[in-house]
Amino acid sequence: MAEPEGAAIDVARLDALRRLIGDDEFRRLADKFLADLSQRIDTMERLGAAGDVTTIGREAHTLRGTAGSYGLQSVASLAERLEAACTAAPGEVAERLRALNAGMAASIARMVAEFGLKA
Amino acid sequence: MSPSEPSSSLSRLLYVDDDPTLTLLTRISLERVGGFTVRTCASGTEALSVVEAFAPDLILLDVMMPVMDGPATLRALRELPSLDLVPVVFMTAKVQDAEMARYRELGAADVIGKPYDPVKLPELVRAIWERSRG
Repeated sequence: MAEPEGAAIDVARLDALRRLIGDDEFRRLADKFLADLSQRIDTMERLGAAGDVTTIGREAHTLRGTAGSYGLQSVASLAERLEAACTAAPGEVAERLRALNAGMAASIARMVAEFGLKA
Repeated sequence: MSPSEPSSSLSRLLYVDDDPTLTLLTRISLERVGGFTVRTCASGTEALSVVEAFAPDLILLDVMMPVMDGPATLRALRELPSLDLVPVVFMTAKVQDAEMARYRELGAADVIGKPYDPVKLPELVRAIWERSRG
């Protein structure tokens, strides 16, 4: 089955972490991360509706480092593009914001499926 | 050991970042994978209030934080006599050459780019610690 666009995650990295810290700790960590990611989608939608490009850029910057460290490569990449648009191409912010939010939703679904987590 | 004498081993880390989700991952990585004792802080101000009592061997400092960013926190840390020899490592998504040079000029021992691999982070921190003692 083709992977949904924006759902690339580093399964090997997450699996290595799971083996090192144990299933229970990994599950707690991943559940918290997914809850945070869902909240970030809401935050980004709200900021997008308000047209607050400065805060969107800051949020995208934070998300790039956080999502990438959790192994969500597509989300990190989409956040980087959104951050760049916030400073260099404000006219593209809305489109890149939609792409990021779709990428976050797809990545949540992929992590849930890959590691048997709660949606 | 005098207050300004550097530690001979790496065991206590202070990690400062305003993103609780990344802080959780980093703490688990450093504690569970690396075996370090870790104190986390959500701001530069909080770090300054606990750093002397915690007495870290090394400090990991996010660059982009509200109110007091990483460079401002580093400057304030260097004002504390007991902290002047403790290596400070910046953690940032901005790792272009010009920024890296600026961070080192500010007195950072090194810079860790975000995102980072939580499985490899403890090893990276140990390597920076070893270099900082050379």
